[in-house]
Amino acid sequence: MNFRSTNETLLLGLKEKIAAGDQNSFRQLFHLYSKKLTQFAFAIVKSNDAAREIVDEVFIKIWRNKASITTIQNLTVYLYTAIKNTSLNYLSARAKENMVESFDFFSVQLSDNNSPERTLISSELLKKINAAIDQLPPRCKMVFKLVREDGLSYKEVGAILKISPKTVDAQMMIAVKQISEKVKMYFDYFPNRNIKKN
Amino acid sequence: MAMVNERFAQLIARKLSGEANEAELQELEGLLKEDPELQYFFEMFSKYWKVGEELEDDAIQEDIHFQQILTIAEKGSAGTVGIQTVTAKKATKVFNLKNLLVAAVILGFIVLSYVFIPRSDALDKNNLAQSEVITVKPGARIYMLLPDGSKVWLNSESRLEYKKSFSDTVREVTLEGEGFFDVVKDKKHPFIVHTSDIDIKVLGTAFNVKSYPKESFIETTLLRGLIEVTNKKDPSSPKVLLYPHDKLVFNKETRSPNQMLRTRTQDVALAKPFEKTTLSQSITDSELMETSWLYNKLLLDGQTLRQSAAKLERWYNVNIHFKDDKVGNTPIRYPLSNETIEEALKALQYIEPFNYRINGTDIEIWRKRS
Repeated sequence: MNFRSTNETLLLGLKEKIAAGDQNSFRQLFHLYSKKLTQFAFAIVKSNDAAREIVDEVFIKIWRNKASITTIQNLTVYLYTAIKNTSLNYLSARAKENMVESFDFFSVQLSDNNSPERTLISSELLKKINAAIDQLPPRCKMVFKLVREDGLSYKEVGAILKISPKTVDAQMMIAVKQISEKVKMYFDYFPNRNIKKN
Repeated sequence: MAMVNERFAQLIARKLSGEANEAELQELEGLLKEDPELQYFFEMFSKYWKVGEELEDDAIQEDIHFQQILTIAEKGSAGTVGIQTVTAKKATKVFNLKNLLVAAVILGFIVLSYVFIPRSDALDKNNLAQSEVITVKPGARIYMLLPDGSKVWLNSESRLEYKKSFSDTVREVTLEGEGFFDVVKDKKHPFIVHTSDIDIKVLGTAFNVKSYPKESFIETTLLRGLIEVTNKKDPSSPKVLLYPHDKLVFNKETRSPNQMLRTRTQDVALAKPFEKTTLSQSITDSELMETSWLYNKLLLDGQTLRQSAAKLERWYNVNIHFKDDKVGNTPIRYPLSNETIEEALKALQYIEPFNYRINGTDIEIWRKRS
């Protein structure tokens, strides 16, 4: 995945142009992030409409304060954090306490674009993996989603979720291990599967 | 399959996420060489990791959304009439971009001002009488912002009227045709949509109203929030409250509940002439027949061609003539979006065989002899 390095260079250019009032660059920024951010917001507020409104609100604020966008160090972390905070504001104060204590109320939805035609994996296997991910604890699932689908670094995920990169690393390990255990059963159904031997 | 141990799982995660350093990559390679089953899992999982990576998003839909955000961001707080005009026109451009069919259609945007020479005692009343009227030409759809920031999408051949004093008192609009309202919450200023027969009082919400003069039903569909509907001709009749995903159908002619076409919904007992149903929660706005037009889609959802004719006529700005009684009676489930009328007819021919002839804006349809 080359997403990250190209992304960083791109963002640097975008920030300056947006600060100068370039609508096209703002549009690019929106296209880069809106979908991922909407899913992230949805994981917290659990409503499509609210998630969309929250993303709208954050982007509207960015455009209205575009002059100061160059002062933002890591735009990715900034955007996700802004979405998180706006989502939490949207929820009640009580939900906020829960959120700080645990991630139990994350309802993480994986992208629905995992159709088998798009990939080289059989649909059966894909189902198995998705089911395994669905059974991960909410925080673990969120970490996995942000790293895999959104292409964020461990450091960025840590900054957004207020956990250490080490914890992100551990959560990723747990995710991969659990997935492997769940799909193991699938392999065991086919003991004579032809396995490459080198 | 060999157990995937913790170290191996960690290395896989680090490699795929780009977190692994040189030493870790080598370590992983060593592990993979030793165990072909691990290798198999790794290959499979790497493929899974990349699933969906190169997907194209619905860029056009996203562009419309972006344009709305930009419009609001640029606009600042509540705007004047002048800004609104621009807003409505801008948004129309985006709508039309998507659908080449309506590209040629120019937005009809008429602002009528009824200015009377005021008598001193009737000054306030006359100011109130000043109206903004927005009309949408056949085949066009527009998006606009009301002075309070509420969003309105108007479908083909619709007319929306509101007073200049809109935001000051009660926020009242009069709708003829079809509109989707996303209303800004403001408890002090209730939002009311007047139609020919019913009034819809809004308590901060998003909903769709379809009230074309030529059609016998007025349909109200609520997506979120809460609305209250009253029968204008019979103010003493009980008010109807709608909750999210409720759809209310009012029969203007018979004033009695009509059979709903939708089968997946459950009916709710209600006083005549209202008919209320609850739509499935799981379908998205764009898949919902009632709101699909917002997404430039025309959903035929189980009605016959005959029943959908008025919709198609508005959508394509055509007149449809059925030459005999036997044609157009098959229920159709079909989503239309960017098709031309000719393409649409060709697609529908697969569902129900018929012949057609297009003559300008007139379309004749008759039964295919087998």
